[in-house]
Amino acid sequence: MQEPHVSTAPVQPESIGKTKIYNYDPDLSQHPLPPHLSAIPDKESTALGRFLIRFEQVLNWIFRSLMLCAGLGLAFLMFGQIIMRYVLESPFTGIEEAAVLLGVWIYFLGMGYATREREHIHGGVVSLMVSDPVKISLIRLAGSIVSMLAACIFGYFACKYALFVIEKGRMSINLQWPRGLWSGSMIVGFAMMVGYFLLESINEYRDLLRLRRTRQQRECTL
Amino acid sequence: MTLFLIAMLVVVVLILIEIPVAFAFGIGAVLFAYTTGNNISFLIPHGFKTASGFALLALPLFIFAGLLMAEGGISERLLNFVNAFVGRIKGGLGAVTVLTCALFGAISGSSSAAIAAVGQIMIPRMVREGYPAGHATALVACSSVLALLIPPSIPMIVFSITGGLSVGAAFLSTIIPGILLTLIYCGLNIWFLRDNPNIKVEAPLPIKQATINIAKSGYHAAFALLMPLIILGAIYSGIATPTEAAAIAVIYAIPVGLFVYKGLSLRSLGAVTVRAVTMTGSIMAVLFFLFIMSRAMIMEQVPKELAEALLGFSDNKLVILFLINILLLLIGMIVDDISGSVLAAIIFLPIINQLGIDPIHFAAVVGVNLGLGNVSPPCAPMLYMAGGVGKLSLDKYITPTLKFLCLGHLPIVFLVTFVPELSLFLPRLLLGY
Amino acid sequence: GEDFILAQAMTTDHIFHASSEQFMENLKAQQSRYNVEYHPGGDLGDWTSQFEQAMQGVIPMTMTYGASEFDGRLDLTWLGYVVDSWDSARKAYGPNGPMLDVYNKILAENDLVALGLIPAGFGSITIRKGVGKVPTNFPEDAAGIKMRVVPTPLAIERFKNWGFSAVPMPFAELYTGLQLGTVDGRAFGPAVEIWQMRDVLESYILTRDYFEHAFWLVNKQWWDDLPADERKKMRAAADQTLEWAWNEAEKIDSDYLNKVRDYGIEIVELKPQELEKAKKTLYAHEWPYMEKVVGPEIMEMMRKIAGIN
Ligand code: NA
Ligand code: NA
Repeated sequence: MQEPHVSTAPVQPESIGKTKIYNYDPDLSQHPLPPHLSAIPDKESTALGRFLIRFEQVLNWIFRSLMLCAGLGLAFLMFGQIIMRYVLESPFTGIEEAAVLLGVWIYFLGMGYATREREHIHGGVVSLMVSDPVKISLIRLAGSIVSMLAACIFGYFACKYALFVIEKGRMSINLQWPRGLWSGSMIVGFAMMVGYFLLESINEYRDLLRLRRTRQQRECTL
Repeated sequence: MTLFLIAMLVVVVLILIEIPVAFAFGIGAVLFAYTTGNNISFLIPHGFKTASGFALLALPLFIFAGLLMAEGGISERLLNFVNAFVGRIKGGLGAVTVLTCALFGAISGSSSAAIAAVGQIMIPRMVREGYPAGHATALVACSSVLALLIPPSIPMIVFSITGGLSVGAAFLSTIIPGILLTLIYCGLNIWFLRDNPNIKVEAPLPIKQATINIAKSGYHAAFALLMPLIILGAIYSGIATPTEAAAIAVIYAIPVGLFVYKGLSLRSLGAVTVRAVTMTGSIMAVLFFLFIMSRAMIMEQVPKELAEALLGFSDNKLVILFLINILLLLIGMIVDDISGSVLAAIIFLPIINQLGIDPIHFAAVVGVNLGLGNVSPPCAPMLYMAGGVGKLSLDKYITPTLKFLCLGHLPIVFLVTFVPELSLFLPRLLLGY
Repeated sequence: GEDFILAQAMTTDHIFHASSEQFMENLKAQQSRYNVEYHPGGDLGDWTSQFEQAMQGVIPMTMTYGASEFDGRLDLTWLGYVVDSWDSARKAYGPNGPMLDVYNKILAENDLVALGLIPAGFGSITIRKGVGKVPTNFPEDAAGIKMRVVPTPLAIERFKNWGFSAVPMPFAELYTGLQLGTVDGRAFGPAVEIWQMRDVLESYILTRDYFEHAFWLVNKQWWDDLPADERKKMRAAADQTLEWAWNEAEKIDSDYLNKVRDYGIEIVELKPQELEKAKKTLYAHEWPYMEKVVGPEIMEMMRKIAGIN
């Protein structure tokens, strides 16, 4: 049977895997944002820079693998629970704990990764109030630094709590696994947030310098 | 209370200068807890505990399922199916967009998957057929809200978990408002375009051919149309909790995408999973810091004081509901839908209970209000996303957006507020609520 | 005066609430310069969370249950068939009873002090609407029934031994779980909690397998740092409150049972031989299990209280 098609020529949509969702910049009307404004630039000129990029690629591979395992794992685990309950008529009480374990890793890896992709939910009316691109860049840079500082403060308390849980040697009720496995997700998540906000700030700072330079050059030529 | 208002002012300023909403609330919370002399060391553990709830796992799973279906190729089948009904009337393509967003809403828990799936195809198509680009973008952005109103719905999950309500009942409460809004947007779309000479329309088919088209496209969309039945059937027959139903949706969407619709490959499955986790992260960051903020507020009895202030204003149910509506609209403008749901649950739900208003009715009020929040600037993630997909700047689509919202969404907000039957009919029918 | 937080996780029809209100009045009557900032209904977290927050001193005072997640020995509060009447319960758990000291030794190691134990009544199992089963004979009747238990190892142990499939679930998710059929019933329910969830329940089977009593906790450091005269006032106000609670609790409990019955929920008593069988299973499995956790000395005392040798 032939599939009926809408008359006009089909549009090839971009893969959802590549669509950024909260990464938008209504000021620049660009979606996704140009890479020089997010945490990871697309190219590096210095040797150290290239090394750091390579290092980040390794980290990135690890993060993505963990996210993949946690995401698919959660879906299959929960599905397994339903099967266990109805087919085998024996719910295994540890599944919910394990599901929450995968859940918190999803949440905090996701938060860290959202920072890398500059995909935290944010407002977008600065350009309606300010039009000078240098000023907009400055506001952005200040925002990234403030976010990083906030991530540092919360990361400190998160680590303190996670370590408290680990030191006390608390065990989960059903699985009797160390509670540190759960709270450890916060340490990783906040470390990612701090790190990527730092990189983002550096990139934005360099962008600001570039903007200034081009403006000065333009003023000189005039 | 003064300190609280100052903290909130700081939050608003931070959001206005585009600091991520999550961190704006985090900073506000610490500032507030610190200045009121509360112990801030328990803020993080509280956020972590609240985030570790089992029921909240429905959130990543419903996001995942929606993205999988969008990637799998469901959107084209749904589009073709709807197109077979209304494609050949003037403004029909716009109606296709609206209806497909609503149908997509029955699969996806959030609007973004609808924009990615429907918007990417429909905005270029509408533009090609003579629709003004601003109109097309605004239509996609506004209709994406339907994905929140038709269950499953992430903000409704968040609202009911924060407020301690039944997720199942909250899901049902926004269905009728969602359907009404769908019809209104279809009507508005046609009305806005009535005098536009550029719109191309294909000649209508003879009844027989049209029926064959509907049957064919319905057959091809069958796996997609089955999905909402499976999700809602599992929840309302008591086979599964909403969380488990979300897992069923994911496990269903994977083979359908891989083998039936073939839009999904093993490679893109990986990319979609990472995308779903990242999107969950964006939302959870906001939730996590809002849980912290709410904790700081509750430590200082802020919701209680706000309730007293509001009830001191009037003790008439309708007046209070009207006031709450205005506040929800304001909150919805400044923040996104997720933040709005948490704030509504901690600030207004106690007042609602005190007044003897049905909390499930209020869930629908919150749902329609905060659906608006997602597309009302300054914090309007779905609006900006649609703009990104349509490759337009804000000033090109803000006017048609406001027209759709004021003539379509706003009336629904007040209708839902003052006619409780709209939201309570289905929960009563299906849950004996 | 100075403010301090008293929190509890139950609704206003629970004895925690009535006791809190009594305490606030009594403290005022003592002319304490401390002022209670009262947080009912779990707005500062569920009961396990409030236990932890009391440990950390975030909440100085709370009425809550023993969260064995922090100390396995606290499962002692859920131990089955220790007392079988309100009289014997008061002797063991009430003011001047021996159990408070036992608990306080354990709690001291967790930076906590219990001012007293608050009685809620005997807890039993209940079945939700639509299940149609009335299990009274264990393990035969229990097969295949998903029974929610409080999230502690001892609770899981008991209901497994009775042949149920035990589903530990936080209190906050319980009502929805019953409504949607995630579980077929719930255990560890005193009459007041059956009343709260009456619209989703079908029958209430009086196993009376444990006596529900809760800790009235204060953070140890906060308590020790109170000025001596203020501590005395608080102690006096608490003692008055506990006296009141133990005098009223039985009546409150039976009132709720009557309300549950009048509402139309089927109330079922175990037959004497069924009760004997249920007890025997517990003594044979659960008690040795508990002995491994708390040691023989405490269990010897428990056996004495229960009147078994
Ligand atoms: Na939806
Ligand atoms: Na908004």
